[in-house]
Amino acid sequence: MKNWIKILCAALLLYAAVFSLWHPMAPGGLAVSATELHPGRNDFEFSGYGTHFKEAEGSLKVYVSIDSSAVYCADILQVVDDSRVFVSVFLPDTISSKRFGFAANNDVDGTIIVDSPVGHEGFVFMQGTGNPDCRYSVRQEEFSGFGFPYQPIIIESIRNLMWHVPMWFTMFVLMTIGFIFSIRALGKEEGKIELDHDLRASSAAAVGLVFCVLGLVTGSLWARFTWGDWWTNDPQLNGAMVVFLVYVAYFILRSSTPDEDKRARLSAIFNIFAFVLMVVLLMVMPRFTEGLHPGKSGNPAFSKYDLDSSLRSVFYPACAGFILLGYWIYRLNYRIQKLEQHHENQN
Amino acid sequence: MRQVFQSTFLQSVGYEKSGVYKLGCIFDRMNTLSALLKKEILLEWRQKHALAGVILYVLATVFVCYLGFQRIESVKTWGVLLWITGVFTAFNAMQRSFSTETAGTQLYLYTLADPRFIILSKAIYNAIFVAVLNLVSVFFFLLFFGTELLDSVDWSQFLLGLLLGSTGLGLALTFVAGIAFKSQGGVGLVAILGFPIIMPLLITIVRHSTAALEGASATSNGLNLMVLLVLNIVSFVLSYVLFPYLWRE
Amino acid sequence: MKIKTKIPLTFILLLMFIYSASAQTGMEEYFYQSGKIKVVVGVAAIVLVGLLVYLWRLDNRVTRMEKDQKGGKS
Repeated sequence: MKNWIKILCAALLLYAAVFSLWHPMAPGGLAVSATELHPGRNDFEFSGYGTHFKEAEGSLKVYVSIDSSAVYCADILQVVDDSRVFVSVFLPDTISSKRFGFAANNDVDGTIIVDSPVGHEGFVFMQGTGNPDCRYSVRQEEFSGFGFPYQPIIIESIRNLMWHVPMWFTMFVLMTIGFIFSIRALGKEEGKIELDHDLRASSAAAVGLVFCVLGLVTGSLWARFTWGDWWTNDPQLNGAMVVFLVYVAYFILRSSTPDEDKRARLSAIFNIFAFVLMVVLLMVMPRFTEGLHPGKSGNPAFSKYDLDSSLRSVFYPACAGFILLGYWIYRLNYRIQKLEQHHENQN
Repeated sequence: MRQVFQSTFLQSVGYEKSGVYKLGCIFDRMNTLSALLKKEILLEWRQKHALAGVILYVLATVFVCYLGFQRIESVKTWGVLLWITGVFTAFNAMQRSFSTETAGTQLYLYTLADPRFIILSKAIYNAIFVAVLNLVSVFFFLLFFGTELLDSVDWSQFLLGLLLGSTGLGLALTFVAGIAFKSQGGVGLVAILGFPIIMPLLITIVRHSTAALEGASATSNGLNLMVLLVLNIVSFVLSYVLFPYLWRE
Repeated sequence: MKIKTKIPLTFILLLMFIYSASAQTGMEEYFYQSGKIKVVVGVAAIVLVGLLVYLWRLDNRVTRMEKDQKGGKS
């Protein structure tokens, strides 16, 4: 392994580690204190995350929108600090829909939306009523600064994208290396070369298994605080667990076959089986079944909508860095195992 | 030896020069395959006590389920129980698939036929065997638990899924049993290697069976059926390609 | 211990650690505070610890070989 690859790996990981934590979040709407809206005057607190209410107090406007057809602006605003503002809005008796949304808009943050369900009482619902006295169209402005996109429940933990997802990519690359060497081991006639290929395949699978475990554990922690459980019934999660079991079975098969040549052949065959299974489980099955991971029944990993340029600028280097690190550790493992074999033969 | 025999035999009838040589080859292969299949079935038939043992195993499992549950509350439980029984029966059946043959028999077979046909015959036989056992277990389930939950069952769909699931189990587990047999790692190895391997198949077949028992439309369940078919094909192709390497000594 | 026993063991121990940590009251709020940034800290720590444990094991294997070699020579 060339030195510049190691330096590149270190540089990429350093970049990813620093900027995955350093970059600010784009502003977003956190919550409103109102639990129930009613005709007449409503007072509540609108809170945002990473917003600049105080800084851009002059241009701040807060709206209550009803089914995006009618929008009522708050006529009294009292800014507490950058993330909190007290709002008072007057709603009419007759409205057209039961879906309420809240939005704030200022020159720095653009438009921030809170989309939490809110109860209501005392309204008369009638189709086609609109045109209240105080009506504005919500300006759809993007946040002009640089920051990771804000998403309601995930918030800051979107930074995990740079830590959790590269684990799976690295595992995939390492398992592919193992798969290729298993095929090559079978392709050759019996002899020394086959054993060497087998050693490479098993060392790659061992390091891949480490990354699989890391992916599972980090995923479990992340899932706990976004989906609410350590383990959720998601096709990718279950698939990853099965992949883990399959590769553990691979190592059990290896350790229960004493004869070297036979072990090389059998484990190569099983590894090919295991790899195909992994492709089916992690690439094919999630497309057919609904799950919690973004991009369900489509792209299994993630779709474009939640991977904007700010995320990509850190995510791709992180993936490349972890893949190189995985390759590095695999080489180390392989070389040590080879030395061990050599050592045993000498003694 | 086989090749020598074949070539002299074929030369004597002037077979190689004839236009139907290629077709003849296919027939020849089919003959080998059917002969091997016949051998498997014959072996099974001669060991009726073993066959009876497996069926007794199915009956006992379903009866234990009955004693535990008395009556099944939901269709989902029905599907899951059915396939838990199915999987353990398949494992039970699979453990005899290679171990009944001595090393001498295997060497003899190896000189006679292409290893691909040996695995194919075993896999096809096991697929049929598991399918039959699963039908038996469905029969026992119906016997013990009745049909009270199963008003809107799409039987043709259910049976098609049962068939595909059984063949998938048979194909994948035969191969795993081959690996475990070769590694001499003991009986437990089949379960350790086999369980993770059949997991995707199992997830899909449980989903398919439950949907079919609930009376889902064929179109909504077609995706599961397709996944089953794909898994069948994948395990078939992998067994066919990889088995010669497994058999090489 | 061989790799097949050690990796699941590490996995189980890590999970147990997280479970027991979350069982204490206040841990829940701890992870939720300041926009769940603590989750990121936890995930990054798991990745680092996991890789370090593996590297530690590699190191141990080299040490074992070195010891054997010294013992063999004398």
